[in-house]
Amino acid sequence: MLHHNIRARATPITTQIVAIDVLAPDVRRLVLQLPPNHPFRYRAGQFVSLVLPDGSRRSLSPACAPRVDDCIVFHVQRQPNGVLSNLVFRDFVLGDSVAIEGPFGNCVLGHRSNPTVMLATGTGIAPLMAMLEENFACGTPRPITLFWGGRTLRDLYAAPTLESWARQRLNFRFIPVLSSTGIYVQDAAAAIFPDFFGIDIYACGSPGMVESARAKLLTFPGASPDRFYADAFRPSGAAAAPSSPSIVIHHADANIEVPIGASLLAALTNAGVAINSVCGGQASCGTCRVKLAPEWHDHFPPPNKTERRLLAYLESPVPTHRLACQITLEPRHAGLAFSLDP
Amino acid sequence: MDVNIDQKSELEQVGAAFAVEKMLFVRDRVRATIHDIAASVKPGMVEEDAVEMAKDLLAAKDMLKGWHDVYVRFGTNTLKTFGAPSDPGIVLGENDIFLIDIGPVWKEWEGDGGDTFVVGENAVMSQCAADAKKLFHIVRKKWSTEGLNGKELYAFAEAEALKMGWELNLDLSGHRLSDFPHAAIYDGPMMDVDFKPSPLLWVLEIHIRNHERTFGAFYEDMLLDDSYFS
Repeated sequence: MLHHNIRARATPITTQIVAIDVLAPDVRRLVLQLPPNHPFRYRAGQFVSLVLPDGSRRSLSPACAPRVDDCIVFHVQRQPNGVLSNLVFRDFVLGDSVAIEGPFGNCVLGHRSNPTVMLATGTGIAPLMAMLEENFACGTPRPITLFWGGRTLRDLYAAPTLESWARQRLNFRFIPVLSSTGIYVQDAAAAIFPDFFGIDIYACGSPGMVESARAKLLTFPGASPDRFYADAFRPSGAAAAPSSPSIVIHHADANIEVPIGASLLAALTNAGVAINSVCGGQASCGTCRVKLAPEWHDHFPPPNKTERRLLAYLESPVPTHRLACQITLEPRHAGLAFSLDP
Repeated sequence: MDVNIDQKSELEQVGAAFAVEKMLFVRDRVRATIHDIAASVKPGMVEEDAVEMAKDLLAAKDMLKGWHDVYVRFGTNTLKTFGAPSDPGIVLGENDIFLIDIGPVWKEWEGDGGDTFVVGENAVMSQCAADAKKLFHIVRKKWSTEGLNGKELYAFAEAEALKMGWELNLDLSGHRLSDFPHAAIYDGPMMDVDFKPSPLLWVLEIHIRNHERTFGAFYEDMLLDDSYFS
């Protein structure tokens, strides 16, 4: 799990509706197409704000990991007199424009392979499906057990997809839970897991489920509030501003707010700065090389052997070169100045 | 995300520097380097030291830059899937198994190769290492002769692995290769494509493991016809 404190994009981006499909009688699949050459980037598990015609905003989590076709998929639940619900179920037509802001939220899957338990009700399955897609694409061998609750099987509209993933993946289990039988997702998880040592728990869906799951599962041996994630998955409401400690750094005449504790590479990527990285932060590809301003050279620990060897190998090395993936941002780095692709 | 057949031309794009002879040249260097690394791995070595040795060797061969990290995995770490950190401090036993997976970039061209080796005497480990390579060629021939798409190839590979007595790890299910970086074109698994992958543009990965999950074996190379595997 990475705790990115990802700055919201200030300027809304105009997308176009390219599909509205029926997932279930009360659920629609809304697909938005990003414009060409857009600067929008998100991680599975984050959420975005849709700016509605009346100026109000509704937050939704993408149901897919970032796609090569630049479409974003959302699951929209029908809500009585819901503004977004009315638009999606009644008013929107293909080709309509919808502005989005974000992304928001700081809970995304990292590269660790901790066993993971996911709990969802209703359209709370959407961000978890995005995270699953991302997890499978990365090949991280994280064992994941997903409990998805509905009143009846008809409510579990994505069950065929999840069952297919479970058949294909040795490390993924999908357990449908029907509340009509008197069992809820947190009960099912409690029945299967005797303890939660080293296990990350994600809960997404109705606030009642999230709070019940929190109250129940955190009494189990090994369960930790630090490993119980639910904050990024609010189904609606205004997007929150980041709240984790951050600093401001300088690049290309711009000030960039970045979270303390993140790598410089992750912070820049999530701030929308066009920095390359191919190897996933392994100090292998060298594409995230940056050139520190001379006065900042001594503000960082010297590179370890792996970074030092690669920096020496890359073309035209200078002493102020570092790999952004190997720099961890600390409070004392406020004001850091550097250039890309030096 | 499913990728349909209309996307073949999109996903099989190459960059401006792409050149067939360069890709094959890097492939030859990668295959040779894997065996050079393997020759320096000895029982009693700690895995982390083997990785350092491999990186030093790659640097000496002007191939230190990689589109992915260098993996030399010993014993139970051979079960680990791509990108997963190894359990630390594993020492290669007298009768043991290890795998190598490198993805160097030489000048502007990517390479990728993997193979598995056994030290001492362990018939089951030796069989596993041999079967990873054997299965690679069975699947490659299927691709060559029957034109299966990515999904079909890995469904076939999974069934064949089971027949051989192994589990196939579908988290390692093939990928693009090109002039650096192929990730700008398509960074997803070959198993997700609904078309027949073209030669020279894709890597077929085979990672098998025993049912008891005590060790595994890995083999990968470019998808090419028989004439490249003499």
